[in-house]
Amino acid sequence: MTRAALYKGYTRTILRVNLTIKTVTVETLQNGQLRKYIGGAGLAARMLYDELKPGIDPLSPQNKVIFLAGPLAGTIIPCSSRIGVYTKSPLTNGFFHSSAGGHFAPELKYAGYDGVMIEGASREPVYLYLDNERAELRDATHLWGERTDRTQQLLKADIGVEEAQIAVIGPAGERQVRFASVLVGCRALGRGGIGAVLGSKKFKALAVRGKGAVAVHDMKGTLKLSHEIIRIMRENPSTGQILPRYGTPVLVEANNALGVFGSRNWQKETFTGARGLSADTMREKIVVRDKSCFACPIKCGKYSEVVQGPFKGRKVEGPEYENIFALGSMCEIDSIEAVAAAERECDDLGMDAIETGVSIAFAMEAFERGILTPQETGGLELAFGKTELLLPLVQMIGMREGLGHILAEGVKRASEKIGRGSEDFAMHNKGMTFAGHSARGLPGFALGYATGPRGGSHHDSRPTGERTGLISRESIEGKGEYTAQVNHLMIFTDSLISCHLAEGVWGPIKLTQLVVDTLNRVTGMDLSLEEAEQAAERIWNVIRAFAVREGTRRENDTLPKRFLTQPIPDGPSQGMVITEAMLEKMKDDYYGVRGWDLATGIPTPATLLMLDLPDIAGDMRKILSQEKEEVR
Amino acid sequence: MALTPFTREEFVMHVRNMAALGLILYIWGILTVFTTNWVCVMIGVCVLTLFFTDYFLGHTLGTSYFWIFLTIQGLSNFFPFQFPLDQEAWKLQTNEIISWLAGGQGTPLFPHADWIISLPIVLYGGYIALRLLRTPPDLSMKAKKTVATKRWRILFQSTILPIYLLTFAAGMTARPIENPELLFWALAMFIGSLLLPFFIGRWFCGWMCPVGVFQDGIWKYFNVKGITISDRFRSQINRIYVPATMVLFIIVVYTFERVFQLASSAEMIRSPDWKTLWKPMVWTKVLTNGMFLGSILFAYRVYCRYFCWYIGYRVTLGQPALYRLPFRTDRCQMCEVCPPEQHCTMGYQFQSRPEGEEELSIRNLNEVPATCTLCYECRDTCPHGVFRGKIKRINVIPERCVGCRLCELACSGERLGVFDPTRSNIQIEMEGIPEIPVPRIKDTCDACKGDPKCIKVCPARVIIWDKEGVRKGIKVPRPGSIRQFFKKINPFSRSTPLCDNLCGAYPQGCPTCDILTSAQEERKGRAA
Repeated sequence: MTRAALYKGYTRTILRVNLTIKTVTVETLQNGQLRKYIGGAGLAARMLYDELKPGIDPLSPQNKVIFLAGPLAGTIIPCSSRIGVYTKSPLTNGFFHSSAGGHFAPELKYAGYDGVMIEGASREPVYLYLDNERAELRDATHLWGERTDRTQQLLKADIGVEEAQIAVIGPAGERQVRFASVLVGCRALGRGGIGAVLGSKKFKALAVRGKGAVAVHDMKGTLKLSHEIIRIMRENPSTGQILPRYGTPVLVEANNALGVFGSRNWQKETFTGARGLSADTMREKIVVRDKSCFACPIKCGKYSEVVQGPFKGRKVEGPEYENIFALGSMCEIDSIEAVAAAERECDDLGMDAIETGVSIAFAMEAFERGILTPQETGGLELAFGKTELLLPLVQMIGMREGLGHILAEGVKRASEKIGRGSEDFAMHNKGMTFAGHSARGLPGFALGYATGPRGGSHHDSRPTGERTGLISRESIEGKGEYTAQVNHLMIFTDSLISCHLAEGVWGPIKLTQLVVDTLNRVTGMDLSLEEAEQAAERIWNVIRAFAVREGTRRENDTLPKRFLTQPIPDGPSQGMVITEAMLEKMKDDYYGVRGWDLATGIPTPATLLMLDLPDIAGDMRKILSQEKEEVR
Repeated sequence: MALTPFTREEFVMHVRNMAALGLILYIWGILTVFTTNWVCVMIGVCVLTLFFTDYFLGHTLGTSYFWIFLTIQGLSNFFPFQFPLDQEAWKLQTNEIISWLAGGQGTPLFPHADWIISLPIVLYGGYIALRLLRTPPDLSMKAKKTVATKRWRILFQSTILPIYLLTFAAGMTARPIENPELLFWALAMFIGSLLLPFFIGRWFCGWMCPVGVFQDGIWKYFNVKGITISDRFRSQINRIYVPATMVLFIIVVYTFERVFQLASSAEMIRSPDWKTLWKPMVWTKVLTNGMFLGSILFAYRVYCRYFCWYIGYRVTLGQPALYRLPFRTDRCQMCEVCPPEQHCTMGYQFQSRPEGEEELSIRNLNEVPATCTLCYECRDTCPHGVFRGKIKRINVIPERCVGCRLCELACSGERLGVFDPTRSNIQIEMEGIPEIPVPRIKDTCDACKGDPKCIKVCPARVIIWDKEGVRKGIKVPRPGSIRQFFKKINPFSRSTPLCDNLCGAYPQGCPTCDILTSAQEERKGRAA
């Protein structure tokens, strides 16, 4: 292959860091590989499928973590410079991908790497410093135990480069809290417990300084397209006016008005105190200025500072909608200051705010039902709405003290440990709790939650289509096709690592030519829309195959009992529910669209062969035949 | 003899072969009159083009076409071309030229010696041309800054060049002694050129002079790198050589040659009497032309800087021009943008240096150099507006910055062709955790010559014009109420007719919008 045909945009270099034997090697990505799996989530899914043996413990040295910057990172294509981290999740035991904005991905790109793969485990704490071509594993004993913000400050002083971008884990990650996150500045790579995996490897931080450049295939076209996208974003009321002004918290009032704003550990779907958490209140009380990620004109990030009350002086980037939902509404706390302080605490400790909030709500409900006793909680009288309990509980989970030690295992494992019927209100799928978008009020999204490879993630499928009325939320017809389309849009943008908040521009309900154009202009790949859709489907099937190998079957694609049996008790969406029968019908529809085995939910070899995945087809054929033998 | 692309070394070898052959043929042709003069000229021009291609492999394709064209022209001198002018008059005038060009006669033994000699050379040249065709241009060499007035200047020059060529064709073959009306025009031009500097300096040199056009064209097209002339040499040549050339050229060459038509090129062409080579005037002619052609190899417009009689006249005059280039040396920031020898057609040293030739440093000059040709190259290069009266600069309001760094990307992408924020003219520094963005504009920013790319992409109106405060962003059409109404009722409208605010609820009534409007009304009410 000639040099000119190599795809631009990528640096085509991945660092493989082995912490056990302390080596750093360089690997090169091939064109065919990139065309098939695009980058980001797709590429990582395939790499982890190939490299991880089935059934390993996610917190063991056999697990691997990949940091990847997408093909568009570091270019002017808006909202596409996100860092993605990929591993086998200790929370869900499946392939897990998480992405965050901030400025880390472009820095990695400018340093000359598409990604860093971390494998093995170190005996003593280490951090990796990438200074352009130089990669150095350094001792991090003095950083071990430090909180995330302080670690970053110490590291910057340590390496003496103020511009360096640093991804760190906090005390929660070191203690292997199963939903510990990785922090990049103040942006978190949350949910699935990447921090715990890095903590188990004694890998404290990844610091990057890049001074190189990113070349693109068609500079004029890229600039023109990015101007066009910026124009579209400004014209779109969501990305042009609402999000820039209020950020994601605007959803608090919107979802509450629609009656799909989970509250009281999903006992209710309206929250009377929503006014105290709304975007308006937040803007009035705590927001100081707007902030945005790299190359993003939406600037939905808000830099906030609490100026009065018991939490005075807390500074935070956010809070975002999901955090307000989890730490606020779920625990029935109506003070935005308390939520902001708790979110800051979560960030400092380095753990996911949604999981933390829902775990606390779970504990509160368990205590109110008398399942948890004051002995188990260490004398704390848990109850919904107790603002003063929020911060101590967050700290307990992060430091794994007392009750926190149980809750740090995630809702699924905690409920299994506590038992006594607490499994019924453990609101999770595959171990991950649900984000702040109702499953009952939005049937298509319920299907997305149930079949999502990451469990209760709101980024495998999106509520947007149904919430805005582009797709009817009253019927369950055609939801299989719809969910598959949204899945494709999500996974393709996750492979470019573009922001899902701009989904109104990218989609919003299916993959569009605009997304493919961004890739083509930057890399010179020349993909058609059909090829892109096929690539998205291929990636989705690889992720599913990974989950199947770990034991996920049709019966795991489900929702908790509360969603399937109790209708929404009050509010505008009163009476809506997804029954078991409805869910099964939608799943049949979905598996049919996907070409998966209806009985087990395993991708059929025919489907995989059509997607040019012969080796995975072989693996799946073996598992399918084993399943059939068991049935006999 | 595989027709593979050239490597640089191979190419240099072929150029040397060609030059050596050309030299041998030329000398042999002069001594024996066996070779057609045209063949020698052709080879000479080809060697020149190849020489410049060597400097600049980026233009291989254009060069090879040029050469093929020359080869065809060379062959066509055996079939004299017709020019679509007054046929009879043109024949009378051009026959002599053609007979000079096709002057070789060949020996009695080999009646077509020039054919026999030139054919292998033409074949060799064709071979090189074909290989050049296959050599891909080096794109990195092609990256060249184009500036606005330079474009205007080149346009002006290229329109005026054909007029000059026609005038020259007429003038070269006419004898002022026989046509006294031409003498009037020649004198008028001479006196006019003496008066012009009092009004607009050497504007004529920068924009109209045919010699300048020729050099500009070669330098523009072939991007010759030239040889750096040391400051020492420059200062000496300015002090000693310029007055000397003034005397030499004005008095000896131009007066005798142009006015009295002694030993002019036209004379040479009319009677190519090689026996008169001993005449001193002929040798001055050979030397001046040779100096001019040779100078092209050294540096940009060396001839215009040091050898043209006009510069001598101009330097002696001082600076009497009514219109001069604006010259605000106090604005100079000693930045890295203008390396010496690159942005002045007259080769002035722009970069201020604490040591060295202080008197040539622009900071120590209080007025425009007398040799200024008003080409405006400097004005388009300098980001600080040293050569502008009024300047437009951009500034930032740091409090508004959201830290998206789109400006850095737009700046580096537009200027450098790659995304490299460390080299962009605007920099966002992140301070503290949570990071607070602090934008800063580098000294080297020139506001993209009045069309800043960063302003277009900035989502937070951080970047503003320094003085006028006019902001040109990407224009978002905001449809008026009537247009919105038609958009709503248009069934073929491409935009979704519902509340396409994607964080809201239903098309029937978006709660978000309602809440927002009610909140706004509430606030308004409170304010009232």
